[in-house]
Amino acid sequence: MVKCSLCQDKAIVKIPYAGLRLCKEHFTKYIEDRVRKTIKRYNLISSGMRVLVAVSGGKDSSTMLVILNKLSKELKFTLYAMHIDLGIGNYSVYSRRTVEKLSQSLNIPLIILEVKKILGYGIPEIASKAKRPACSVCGVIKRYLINATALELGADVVAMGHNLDDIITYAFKEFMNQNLNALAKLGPSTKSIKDLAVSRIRPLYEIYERESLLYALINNITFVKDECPMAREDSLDRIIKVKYFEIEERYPGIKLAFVRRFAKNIQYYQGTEPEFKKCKTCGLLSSWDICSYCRLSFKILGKYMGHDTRNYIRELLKNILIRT
Amino acid sequence: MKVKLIIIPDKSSKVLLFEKKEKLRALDILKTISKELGLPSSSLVLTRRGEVLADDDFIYDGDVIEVLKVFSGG
Repeated sequence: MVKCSLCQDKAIVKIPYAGLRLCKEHFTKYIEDRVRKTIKRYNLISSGMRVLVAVSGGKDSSTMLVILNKLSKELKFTLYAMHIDLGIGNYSVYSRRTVEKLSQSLNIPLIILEVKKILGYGIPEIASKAKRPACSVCGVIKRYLINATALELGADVVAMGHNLDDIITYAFKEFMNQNLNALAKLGPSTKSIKDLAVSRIRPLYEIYERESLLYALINNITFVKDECPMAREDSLDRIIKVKYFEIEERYPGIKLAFVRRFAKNIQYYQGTEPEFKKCKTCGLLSSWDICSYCRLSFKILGKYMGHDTRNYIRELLKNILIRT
Repeated sequence: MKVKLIIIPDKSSKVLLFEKKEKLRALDILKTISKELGLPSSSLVLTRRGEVLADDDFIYDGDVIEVLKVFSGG
């Protein structure tokens, strides 16, 4: 029996870049410590902050919610969770149920937004009407709803479940496209812009995707194991990720070293600060006169829906905040 | 020795046959399935009845093992 590097118990997990083999208890503590250090190293959360956690029901966001819940008392911040029901058949039904059970077990107030209630259609129908790939419309809608909810809630930051492997994948893609402004948004946090956008933080920034999965399994966190039915198996993201897994096997720790150096150098990718505008219809952050969400909703419904969406969220939050 | 592997999230399954073996280590199963799937072994996690398997855990004839792809899902 291989023993834990820190005690006499059986080792379950190997951490090659740290030369450690850890039992369940020490692995759990190791990951929680790493998240705590990430929060402190990059000043992600301060005492008294209101943190909105975006939870899809997958392993990363579920792991993140559990760990942030544990840290919330120690670091003195308040947690709210939000889930977006994307209207993708049984997948969305199961995802929502999973998130509801998790936040209930942790006693964290949960905000649920249903895309079908807001826009009249789920993601598959919206993608079809807009004649765009599902992931593209999904991204626009999720980003908008998360930001709008955070602003209406008065959240100081939104915690996203992107892990170390996600960051490397996105960074490599954006570097290949020479999209340096996009690279600048891949740090441990993004800036907030008053009344337009709430800062996004990535507490799992230095956590390997494998570690996130193992944490969820070892701590019996119920999460959605199914892949989104709209996701592509042969996507560029997937291909890049697999390659980087191979590289890490040959050179343990290279991915962690990359994200840390990348975070240090992020200022050099900023270049010319893009002009931030206020959407003329809904008042939220936009790169153009009308934001992507409003333009998308106009395309499918013949109406700019940003303003109505914000009102809907405002009303929804009134009920949730009264109850909590 | 016969071991059934359930690949998640694919929901497909494979049966591996090992001649003249009564038991194998999880690491051996991992190496075999990673070659079959064409994926690095570090991108897969093996569980048995929901419990994570360590490299040196034994797998026996008739065991049903879940093979989770690390990079799937969110």
